[in-house]
Amino acid sequence: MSQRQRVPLRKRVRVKTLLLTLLSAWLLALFLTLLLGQARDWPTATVGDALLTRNAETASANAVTSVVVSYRGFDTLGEVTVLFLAATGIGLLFSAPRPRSELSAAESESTPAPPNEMMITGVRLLFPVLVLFGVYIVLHGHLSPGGGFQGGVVIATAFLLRMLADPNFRLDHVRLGWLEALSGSGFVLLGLIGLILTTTATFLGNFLPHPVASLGQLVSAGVIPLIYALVGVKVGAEVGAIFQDMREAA
Amino acid sequence: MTGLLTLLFYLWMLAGAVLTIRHTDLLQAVLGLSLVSLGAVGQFFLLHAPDVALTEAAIGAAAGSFVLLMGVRQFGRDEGRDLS
Repeated sequence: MSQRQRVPLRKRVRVKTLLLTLLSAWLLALFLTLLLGQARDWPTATVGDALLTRNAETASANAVTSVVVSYRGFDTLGEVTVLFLAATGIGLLFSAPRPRSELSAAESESTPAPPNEMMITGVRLLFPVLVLFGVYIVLHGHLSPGGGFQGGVVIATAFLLRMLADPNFRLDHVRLGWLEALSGSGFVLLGLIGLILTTTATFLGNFLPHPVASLGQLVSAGVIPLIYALVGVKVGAEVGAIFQDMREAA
Repeated sequence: MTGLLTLLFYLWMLAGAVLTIRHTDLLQAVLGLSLVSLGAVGQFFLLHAPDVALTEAAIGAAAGSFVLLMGVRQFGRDEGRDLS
C-alpha cells in the first residue's frame, strides 16, 4: 500500500492518453459541427462565391478546375515549380556517394527477395488499366473531379507498381527530364501567348475560343484542358523521378 | 445517413492509427497508415470535395506508403532493431 502511495499522481493517471482521447473527441465534435453547419448555408461574401458566379464564362463544367487553372493559374505554376524543386532535392540527396563500408554492408546483408507470382500477374493486369485511368482523369479535368495533379500521380503510381513487380524495370532519368522540361516550357509558353494576344492580354489568359454552348463536352473550355494535360505530364514525370531515385537508394 | 457514415469513417481512421502505433512489424504499420488515408478519402468525399479525395487517394494512400515502404526495405521490418 505504501509502495503505491509513493507513485506520483501524474504517473498513476495517464495524462498523455487522456489528452489524446480529449483531442480526438474535440476533433470529432469540430468535424460534426462543420458537417452539420454546411446544411444551413449561411450567406457569405467571399472570393469563392464571386468566382463561382463567374464560372460560366470559362465554359468549364468543373468549377474547381477553372479556379486552379484559370483564375489561380499562376499559383499552379508556382506549385509545379515547388514540386520540381522537391524532386531535384531528393535526387541530389539520394545520388550522394555512400561510404564504402556502409555500401558493402548493405550489399552483403539484404538482397531483396524476388517478387512473387501473385504480384507479377496482378501488376500485369492492373498496369494498363491504371495508366488508362490516369489519362482519363487528366483529360477530363475540366469536366469531372480530378485533373493534372491527380492523374499524373496515378500514372506515376502505375509505374511504381511495375518497379515493385519487376526488379529490372527502370525509368530513364534523361527521358523523364526531357518530358518535364518540355511540358513545363509548354505551360509557360501558353501563359505568354495569353499575355501577348490583345484579346486576353493576361498571363494564362484563355485565348482559344470557349463558347458556353459547348459546356460539358470534351473539347471545351479553350486552353484549360491543354494546360492541365501539360501539368499532368510534368507531375507524372517528377513523381516518377522521385520513385526511381528512392528505389535506386533502397 | 451522412452522419453515420462520418462516424464509421472516423472509427476506421482511429482503428488504422491504433494499428499503426501498436504493431511491431513495420510493414503492417505502413499498411495501417495507408488505411488512415483511405478513411480520409471517405471523409473528404462526404464533405463534397471529390477533388481533394482523389488527391488523398493518389498521394496519401499510394505514394506516401511507397516512400515509407522504401524506408522499411532499407532498415528491415523489425521495430526493435538498432539503426546506428
